[in-house]
Amino acid sequence: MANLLGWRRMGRNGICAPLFLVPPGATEVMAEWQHAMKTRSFYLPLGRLLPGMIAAADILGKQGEKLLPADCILDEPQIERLRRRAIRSVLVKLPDERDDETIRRETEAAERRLAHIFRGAGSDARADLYRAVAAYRRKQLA
Amino acid sequence: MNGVSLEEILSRVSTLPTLPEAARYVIATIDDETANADSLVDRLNTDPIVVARILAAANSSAFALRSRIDSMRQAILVLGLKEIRSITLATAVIDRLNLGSGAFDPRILWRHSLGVAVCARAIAEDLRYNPEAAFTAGLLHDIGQMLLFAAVPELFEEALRRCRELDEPIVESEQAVFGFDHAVVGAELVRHWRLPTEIADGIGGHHDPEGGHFGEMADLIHVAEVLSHALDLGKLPDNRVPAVSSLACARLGIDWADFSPRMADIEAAYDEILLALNLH
Repeated sequence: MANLLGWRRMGRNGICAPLFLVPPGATEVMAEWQHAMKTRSFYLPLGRLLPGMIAAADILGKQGEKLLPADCILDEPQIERLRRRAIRSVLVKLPDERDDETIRRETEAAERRLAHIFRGAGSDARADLYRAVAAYRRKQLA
Repeated sequence: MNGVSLEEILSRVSTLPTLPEAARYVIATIDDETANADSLVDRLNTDPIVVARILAAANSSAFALRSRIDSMRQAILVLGLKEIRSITLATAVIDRLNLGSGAFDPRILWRHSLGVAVCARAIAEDLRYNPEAAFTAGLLHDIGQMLLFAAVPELFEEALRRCRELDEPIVESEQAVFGFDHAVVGAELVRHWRLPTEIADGIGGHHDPEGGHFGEMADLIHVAEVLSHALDLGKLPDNRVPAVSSLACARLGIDWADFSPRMADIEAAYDEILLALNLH
């Protein structure tokens, strides 16, 4: 059984990552946890990865080669190998404990901030950029 | 306008510390394929302050290494030559050029500049331009503000005050106060430092890439700065996405909808470099 040691708050978004002590053969337990909990995906820089985190997508090298498959549970030697391959960030799944009301509030706050930083008129290219960032934020917060 | 000319500002260039030798070496070898780890180590080891800062960055939580890094060679082996070159440039420049007081906070300037540098590197990688040159031009794109502050602090603070009170772009405030802006000053400064023309042009044209004679680097830094503001990197208190040149986007072939999958990666890379440089 993997022991949950606690939660570590990290990153500018204040997301929480689980701190696990992962014994050998804990893969099944981790997979069960992954199915049992609602998750969301984040790109994290390598320095913020922790053993026990789960890759949300295939991890690809600079030439597009697959280094690790989606859903693999990262351990320290794997993280070290990613560093040697000059991988800068990894998309990982993290537990999502937000209820619908929290998601709505976060989405509204992000939209307000975006409207504020895009205040004033601008070119078509600026409007295209606004739409792309708004779509990215909605996906990030969903 | 106050009557201070561009020439007078540039004549006060000695009010700024010179660019550190380590940073000069990294910039001078951007296009040099023969520049290797040995030559970088030999050069950097002559500057103990730079070495100490690089080792502190390599041992920071940004990289979460299991073993302690205590030499430049080890740092290059573990983090790679490119990462070390970026960290060297950023630490050397930020450590040396950290003037500020009152309304002008150099940490805000450098957090913003690193955001632009990270965006420029990502865009350059996508478009197959030189990512190191793009990172350097991004890092130094607002260096003209540092010289304006060092040379005429009261006037530059007046421009900042005007920018804040009228909620207008800083280049407009600078034009109103000085008759020229920090992009022109920055380009002249890096020419004075004898940095590559491509970087000077990138800095000089980043607010006016349609001026016509600045080249691709100006388009790239312009677009990178816009993206950095749009992603809110650095969380500037009065952040506002500046005017975006449709022509620069078209010349680079940037399609924002296609580019959006890179945004999460850019935010992660920015987070990493702030951690490494202790600028959080």
